[in-house]
Amino acid sequence: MKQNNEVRVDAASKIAGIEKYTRDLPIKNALIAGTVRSSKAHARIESISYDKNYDWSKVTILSAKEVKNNYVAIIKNDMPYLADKEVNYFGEPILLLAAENEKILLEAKKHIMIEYKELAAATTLKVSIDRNRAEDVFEEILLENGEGNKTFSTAYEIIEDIFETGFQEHVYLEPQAVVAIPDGNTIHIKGSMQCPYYVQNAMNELFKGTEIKVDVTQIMTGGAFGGKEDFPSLICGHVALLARKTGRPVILSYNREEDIRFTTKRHPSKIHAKAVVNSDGKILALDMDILLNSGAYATLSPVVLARAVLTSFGCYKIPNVRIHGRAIKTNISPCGAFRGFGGPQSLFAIEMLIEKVAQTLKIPVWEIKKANMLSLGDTLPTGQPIDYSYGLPKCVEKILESSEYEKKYKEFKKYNENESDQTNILKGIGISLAVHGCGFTGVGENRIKAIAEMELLPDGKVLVKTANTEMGQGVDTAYKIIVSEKLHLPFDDIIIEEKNTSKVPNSGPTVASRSTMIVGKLLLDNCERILDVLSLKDLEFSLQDFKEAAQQYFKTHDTLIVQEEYKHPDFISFDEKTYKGYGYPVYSWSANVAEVEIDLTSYQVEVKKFYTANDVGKAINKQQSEGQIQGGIIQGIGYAVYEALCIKDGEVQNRGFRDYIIPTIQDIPEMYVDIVEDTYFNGPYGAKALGELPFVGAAPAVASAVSFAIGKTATKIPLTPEVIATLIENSNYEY
Amino acid sequence: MNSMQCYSPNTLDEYQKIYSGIAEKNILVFSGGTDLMIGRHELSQDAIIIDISGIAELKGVEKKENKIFIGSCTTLNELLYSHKIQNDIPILIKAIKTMASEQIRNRATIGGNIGNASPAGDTITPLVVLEASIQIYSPESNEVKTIPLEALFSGPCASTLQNGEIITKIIIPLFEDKDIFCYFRKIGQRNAMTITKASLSAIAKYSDSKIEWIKLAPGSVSPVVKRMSKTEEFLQGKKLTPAVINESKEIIGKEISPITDIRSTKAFRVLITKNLLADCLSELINRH
Ligand SMILES: Cc1cc2nc3c(=O)[nH]c(=O)nc-3n(C[C@H](O)[C@H](O)[C@H](O)COP(=O)(O)OP(=O)(O)OC[C@H]3O[C@@H](n4cnc5c(N)ncnc54)[C@H](O)[C@@H]3O)c2cc1C
Repeated sequence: MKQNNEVRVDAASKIAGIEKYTRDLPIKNALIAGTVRSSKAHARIESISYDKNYDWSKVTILSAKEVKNNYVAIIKNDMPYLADKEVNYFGEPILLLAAENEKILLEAKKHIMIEYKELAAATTLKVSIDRNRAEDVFEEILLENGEGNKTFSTAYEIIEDIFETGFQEHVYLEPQAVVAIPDGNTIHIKGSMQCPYYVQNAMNELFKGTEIKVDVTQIMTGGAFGGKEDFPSLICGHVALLARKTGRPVILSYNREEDIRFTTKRHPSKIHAKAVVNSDGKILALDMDILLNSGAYATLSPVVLARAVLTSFGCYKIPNVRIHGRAIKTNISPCGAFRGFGGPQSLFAIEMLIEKVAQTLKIPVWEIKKANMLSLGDTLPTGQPIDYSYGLPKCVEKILESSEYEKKYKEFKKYNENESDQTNILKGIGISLAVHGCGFTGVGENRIKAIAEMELLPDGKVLVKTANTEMGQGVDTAYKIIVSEKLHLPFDDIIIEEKNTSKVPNSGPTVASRSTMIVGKLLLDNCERILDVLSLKDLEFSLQDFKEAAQQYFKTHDTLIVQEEYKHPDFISFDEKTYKGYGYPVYSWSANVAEVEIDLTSYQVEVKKFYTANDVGKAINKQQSEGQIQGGIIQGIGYAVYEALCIKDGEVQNRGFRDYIIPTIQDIPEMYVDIVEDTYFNGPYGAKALGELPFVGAAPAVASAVSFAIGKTATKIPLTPEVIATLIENSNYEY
Repeated sequence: MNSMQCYSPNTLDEYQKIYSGIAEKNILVFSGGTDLMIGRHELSQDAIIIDISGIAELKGVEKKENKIFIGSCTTLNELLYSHKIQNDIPILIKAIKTMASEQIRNRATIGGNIGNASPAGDTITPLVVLEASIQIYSPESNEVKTIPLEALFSGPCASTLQNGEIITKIIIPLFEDKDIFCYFRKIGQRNAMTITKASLSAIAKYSDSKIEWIKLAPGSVSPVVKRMSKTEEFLQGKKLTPAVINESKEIIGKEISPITDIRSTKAFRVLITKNLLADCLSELINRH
């Protein structure tokens, strides 16, 4: 494949401001929906009463009583669309309202009184763990290999600590927005979402046993990062229910405040990790207790936990492991999918554990990482051999060179010893190795059975039909490149079908960095089939040859539709009980170096430079790949340094961008991005997962640099100034 | 969707007439709107907006008799690019440079920053150490009075303005002496677009290795911005030895009364205010 550097096909319309997002849809006669929410973290609903003196004729009210199948179909089906007798988190939807405009909604809300009987609430992970109830464990996973933790008794040295990561808000540019449009017995749902078929599935369950049919269309989505994976199923149910009740189109769109306070977040984690090491820093055994704070309902926690467990040994060869993971219920807004999906939490723990090993043994951290890093042909604790598409060594080589890591390591040490007193600045340089399992965990893909379809049109154009959504990550452009490369068609001759469940097959959700690798490969296979039918397979042909062959074909045929269904190669198997086997069909790898400065007046961490090399198999679109990598790093820096969600008694205190702090252009380091292409035999042109990878390695590199600067292992993120002051001054400045 | 009444007077006279015509006096003075728009969801739906940004008398910078007069509706960027201010009140320029972004500074006015009365308002601490006063116009009496800026603030985001009173001018006395040290530093959560966690404005006269006098006003660490008179007194006449600096840090740490809120904790604000003072004093030493 030639190197592609294509401007995104959606760029012009977005820059011109003419792209239509959900709020821009011209919907006639629509009602506006609003949500009445719990003001308690855990309580029984005693009564709901409506002010008799208020004119209710202009407001439609919908309660749990009217919802027959009152559960959002995700994994455990434990979350209701509307709370009935009990609320489990502050902000949980209790009632839905619909009215002509927002003003009426705001006023009506003031005339609804809900009485509660408060119940004991666990609004922090600690409270939930301490009360130790089996029903608070949404999922538990144990992965053991080798001697497990037996090595610990005879070991040379045990080095351990507790590592914590915080919440993170997705901060997609476009807040949640969905509409439902009734049309006879059908309800058309449109909205900002990643996974139209997840919504379709949830709606099928919701209206099971009724005459209602639903179809779902994704409208151009202004960012998602996982925040529009599971959450839209809830609010699509809300608008669908209201549309059915009122017989009118219903729009539900959150403003930023509602979005920040009540939608899903990244799972915070608390991980107790222990390493058994010999005097050279070789890791003999690893023991990890992973706790994820799931919030009030399970949503996707079981699979987030699975990825956390399977990422916990990082990029290292560790003969003996015991990894114990639990996803724990607490009385806060449910956590959900977020770029990295459990990986960032456990990768932070393993990387910082190694930092601690280095500091304890007084060996430079890179020496320890190098000594333990996987080599081609090594086996993971799951038994999976790493014997193809392993570009990590190349990534390491690249960043050591571009960053001059080893030279700066010495220089910065000297600087901190000799000059910091004068300048009031500490310098740090850190290094991280990161891994991201590509696509769904285990044999998830075999369960999904993704189908992608292509249709050759009479004018020689092709129609590409997948359910994979554009949310700013460039998938439409990637698909056009994949098809164009194979069929020699210009982009204009490749038409991407609307992501509407009545028009496109279920090619699976747009998550897990799978769209290019899994569905892109299906498209490539579809191209082969078309070429086969047109008798062009394995031939050299021009655009004109292709068009002529198409013309010939339509002389004797009416349509040409080809379909491919995905299945893993046969050797890829996984045991969900023991967690042994192929956790993922292949892995993407990255190596990262961060340079930071800490100001000793303000305790602010500033990331000055960031070097990264990412093995993505094949960069289908070079400039877009670089963009994704830069974006992932910035989001990772936000996670590591800036982004702090403040929860008090279960209530999110942040209201918007003024108090949920993300990095701005002034906080972004110089970035040096390298791409390594160690191809994957089963990806299109060798491509594997890219979207999440750059995020995963960023925070550990920054925390490693901070550890260097302050001479202590940074055991938790975000490393806000308050946390840094606490680490440096040995006194508590945190909340 | 929401209907609000709005007026845009061009002169103070027109302002007065509009005000007299509103029976309930439920008005909202709107200048650049950059504070008001942020809280627009919480604004009373019945308030009548009077946009004063078009009132010519309230715009511009003037130098008269060793004083600078700044019209309250002068935008932050107009001040930033004003030569008079740049040369004569560098501390204000230092502060404005740390504020918001280019786009916001094009709208945000100095009168709005003061009128908002937030202890985190970044133009307030420099103006307080400069001992600025403000002119206030009352549409009820149709008179103008002048009060010290510090007297305007009655609590966090609360001022003593009432009955349609607006700030018309900020008056800053200039120093004869050109050798005045000035310091402004703000600590926020990031490098730009950030609300102050703690800040410090200082001006001082330093001679013979001693502090002749110093004026200090920290931001965001007390309900209203005020001078640190105990710390100032302590430092007056002192040589800046490490022991003196340490003691002054302790004094300022006790003189402020910060709170814990979403932006930071009380303990951290005390710590960084002390650090800011140390940073200020070490800069003072290094300058001389
Ligand atoms: C993104 C962003 C970043 C910001 N960054 C900073 C920052 O770094 N530092 C900082 O200090 N502030 C910051 N602000 C806040 C704001 O921009 C400033 O306080 C600004 O100076 C307010 O001026 P304005 O003209 O927009 O005020 P407005 O919003 O018009 O008014 C603010 C308040 O003052 C009153 N008021 C306005 N003019 C007068 C007057 N002449 N007399 C009496 N009362 C009056 C209004 O009634 C209102 O209560 C930021 C705001 C935003 C949106």
